[in-house]
Amino acid sequence: MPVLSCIFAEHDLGMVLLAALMCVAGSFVTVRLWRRTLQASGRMRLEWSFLTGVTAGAAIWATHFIAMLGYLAPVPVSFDAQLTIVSIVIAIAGTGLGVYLSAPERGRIAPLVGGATIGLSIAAMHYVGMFAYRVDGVVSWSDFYIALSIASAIGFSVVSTALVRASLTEKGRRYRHLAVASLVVAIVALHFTAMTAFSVSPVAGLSSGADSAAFQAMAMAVAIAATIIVFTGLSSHVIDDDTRAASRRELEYIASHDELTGLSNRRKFAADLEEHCRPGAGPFHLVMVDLDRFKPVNDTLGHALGDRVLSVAAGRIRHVIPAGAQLARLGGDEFAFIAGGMSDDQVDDLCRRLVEVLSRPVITQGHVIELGASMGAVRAFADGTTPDELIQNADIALYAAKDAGRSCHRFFEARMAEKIQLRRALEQDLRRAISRDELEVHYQPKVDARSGAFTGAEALVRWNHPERGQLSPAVFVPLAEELGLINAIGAWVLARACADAATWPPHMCVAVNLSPVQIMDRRLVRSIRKILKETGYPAERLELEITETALLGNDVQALATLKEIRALGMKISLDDFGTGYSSLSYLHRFPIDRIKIDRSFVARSPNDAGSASIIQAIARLGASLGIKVTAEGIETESQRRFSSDEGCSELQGYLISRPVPHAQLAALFAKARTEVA
Amino acid sequence: MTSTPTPAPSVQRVLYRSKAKRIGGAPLAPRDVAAIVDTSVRNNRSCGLSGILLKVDDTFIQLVEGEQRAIEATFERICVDERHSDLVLIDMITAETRLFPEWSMAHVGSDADPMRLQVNRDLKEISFTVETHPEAALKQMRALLR
Repeated sequence: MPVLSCIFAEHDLGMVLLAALMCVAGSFVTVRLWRRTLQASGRMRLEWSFLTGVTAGAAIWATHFIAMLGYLAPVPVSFDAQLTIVSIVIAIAGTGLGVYLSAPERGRIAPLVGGATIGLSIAAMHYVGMFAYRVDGVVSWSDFYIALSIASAIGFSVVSTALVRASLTEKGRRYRHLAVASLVVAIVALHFTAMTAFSVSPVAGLSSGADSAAFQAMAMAVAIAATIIVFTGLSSHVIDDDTRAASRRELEYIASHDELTGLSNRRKFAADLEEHCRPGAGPFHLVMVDLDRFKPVNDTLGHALGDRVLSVAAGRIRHVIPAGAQLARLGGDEFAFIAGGMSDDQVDDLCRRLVEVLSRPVITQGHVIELGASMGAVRAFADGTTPDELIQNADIALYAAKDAGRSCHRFFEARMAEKIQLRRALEQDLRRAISRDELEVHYQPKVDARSGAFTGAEALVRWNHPERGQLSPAVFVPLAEELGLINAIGAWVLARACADAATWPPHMCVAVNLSPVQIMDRRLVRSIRKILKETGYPAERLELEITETALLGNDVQALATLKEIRALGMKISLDDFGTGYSSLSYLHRFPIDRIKIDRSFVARSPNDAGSASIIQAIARLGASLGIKVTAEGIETESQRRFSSDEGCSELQGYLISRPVPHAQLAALFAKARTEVA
Repeated sequence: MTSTPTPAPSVQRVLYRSKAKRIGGAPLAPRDVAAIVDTSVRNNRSCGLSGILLKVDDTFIQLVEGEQRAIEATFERICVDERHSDLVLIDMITAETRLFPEWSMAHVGSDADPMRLQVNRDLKEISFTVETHPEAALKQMRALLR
C-alpha cells in the first residue's frame, strides 16, 4: 500500500502521532458542536456554525500542518505565509458553511450538500497548503491519488454528516462516536492519500533535509494554538450545555412545584404516585388532606392572607409527616402525601397528630385564623392498585371524615364506597325529580285540642323514586340542601301546598316546613309572595315551620326574613322544640306564633315523669308568652288527653291521622263537615 | 423646638394554654419541660421576645410578647411542636408596654415542695381564672415574679 508506506517511511512518527491526536480531539469537539448547531435554529444556528467552523477548521488545518512538518522531505523546505493563511481561512469558512448546509430542514440532500462542502474544503485546504509548501526539488504529482484523496474526503465527510444527523434522534445517540471516527478518517485519509500523490526528488547540488528541530518547535506551537482554539470551542459548548441544563432544571422545577408552598404540584404528585404503583413496588399509604373552614378565610380576609395561611398549613404538614414522605399541594386547600414503610397504626397516629396540629390557630398579620383539617387515608395495595383507584378511594375516605363532622381522619372502607355510590345515584335522580313530577305533597291533619275539629294540616314532601319507592325527606332533604336544590324543591312544595289548601274550608291553615338554607336565601320572601299571588291563597292561612338551627347561624339575617314574613300576615312556628338548644331567648327575640313540642317527649308521656314535666313546662311557657303550643306525635288516647289537659292548643299525630295524599285529606275534611252538620 | 412624637412601638401579646403531654402520648418528664424552657429562652432572646411559662400540674400557660412578626413566627413554632397538646389560644392583644420586659422566658412550675405552698396556690388560681379573666390572671402572673 503506497499510502501506508508514505505514512511510515516518509514521516516522522512522533509528528504523525501528534497530528493524529490533534485530529481525534478536534473531530470529537467538532461533532459535539455540530450536533449543537443542528439543534439550534435561526440566527443561533449561524453562530453555532461559525463556532463549529472555527474549531473544525483549526483542528483540520493543525492536523495537516503538523503532519506536513513531520514529512521527511529529502530537500530543504519553506512555507509561503500568505498561502498558509489562505488555507486556514478555507478550512474554517468551508467547514462552517458545510455544517450550516447540513441543517435538517434541507431534507434528504442536506447531508450530501453539507458533507460534500466539508470534504471539498478539507481537500482545498490541503492542496492550497501544499502550494504554500515550498521545496527546493523536483515535484511530481499522481493524478490518481489526487482524485482518490478528494473522493475519500468527500465520501467520509458525507458519511460523517449523515451520522451526526442520525445521532440527534433519541435512538441514534450512539452514532455520534461513529461520526467522530468517520470525520477523523476523512481528514487523515485525505492527508496521507494526498501526500502519496506528492513526491519530491532532490536537485543535485542542493541537499540537506528539513530543519527538524525548528519544525518540531513550530509543530508544538501550532498544536498548542490549535488546541487552544479547539478547547475554546469545547468549553463554549460545555458552558452552553450547563446553562441549558440549568434552565431545563429550573423549568422542570417550575413545572413540577407549587409556587406558593414550594411543595410538589398535582402533576408531579401524579408522576410520583405512578412511580409508587409500578409492579414490584413496596406498599405505602396515600393520605389526602383537606383544610376545613379555609374558604371563608379567603373570602373575608382576602387572597393574600389566604395564601399566607396555606403556606403556614403546608409548613405544619411538612413538619409533622416523616422526612421521606412525598407531600404535594393538589390545588386550593387540598394536600396529599405518600408515605412508605409505615404500619396502619403509625399512619393512624400520624393523621391524629396532623389533625391536632392543623387545628391550632394560625396567627398571621395580626389575625387569628381557626382552621381544621379532614383526612382520608388508603393503603396501597389493599385499597386499590392503580393511582386512579387509590386517589378515588382516598377521596371517599376524606369525604367520610368530613361527613363525620370534620377535623378527623378516616381510613378507606369498602362500605364507604357503597354509601357514596348510593348518594351519587340519588344526586342525579334528585336533580330530575321535580321535572319528572316525582315529588308529592302529603298532609297530616291537625285538630283543635278541645273540640277535636280539624284546624288544618302540615304539608310533608315525599319523593316517589321510580326504583327505590317512596323516600322520606330525612333521606333527601339534607342531600338537596347540599346540592343547592332545596330552594327549588321548597318553592315547589310551597306552591303545591298553597294550591291544595286553597280548596280547604276557609278557617283551615296549611303548615309548610322551611329549611335553614331557605331562610338564609334572600330571595325567599319574594318567592313566597309570588306563590301567594299565583295561587290566590291568603297569607294569613299559611304557617311556616322553622327549626332552631335556622336561627343559630346568621341570626340577624334570619330575624330580618322572619319579620318580613310576619309582616305579610303569615305565622311562624318553631318545630322540634325541646331537643336542641331550646334557647328561651329565641322565643323572645324572634316573632314566633307557635311552638311544636318535639315528638320524643310526647311519645314518652304521660308515664315518663321527666317528659311529662317538660310538656307541662313548655305548655305553661307558651301560655305566659302568648304563644300557642302544638303537641306532635300523638299516638295514644292517654297522650291526647294528657297534652290537651296540660294546655296544648293543637294536636297532631297518628292517633288523629297519618300523613295522607291530598285527595284522601279532602275526603277527611268533607266527612268531618258532614258529621258536624 | 418642635419634635414629632414617635408612636410608641406596639407590643403584641399572645396568651395560650396547653396540656403538657405529647399529642396522643405520655405526659412530659421534668427534663422535657426544662428543655422546652431552655430553647424558648434562647429563641426569645435572639428575637427580642419576653414572657412567662407556667406549668400548673399538667397544664402549660404561656404568655409571649414582642414585635408582631417575631410573635407570629414564635407562635407558629409553638404550634408545630408536638410536645404539648390541646392548645387553646386564650387571648391575643396589642399593648403599648411589655408585662415581662426583663424576662426572656420566666418559668414558674408547681411542685410538691411545702415551702412553695403559696406559689402553688397562686398557680392554681391563675389556671382557673386565665380563660375567663385573662387580665387579672396576667397581673397575678406578674406578681409571682416579685
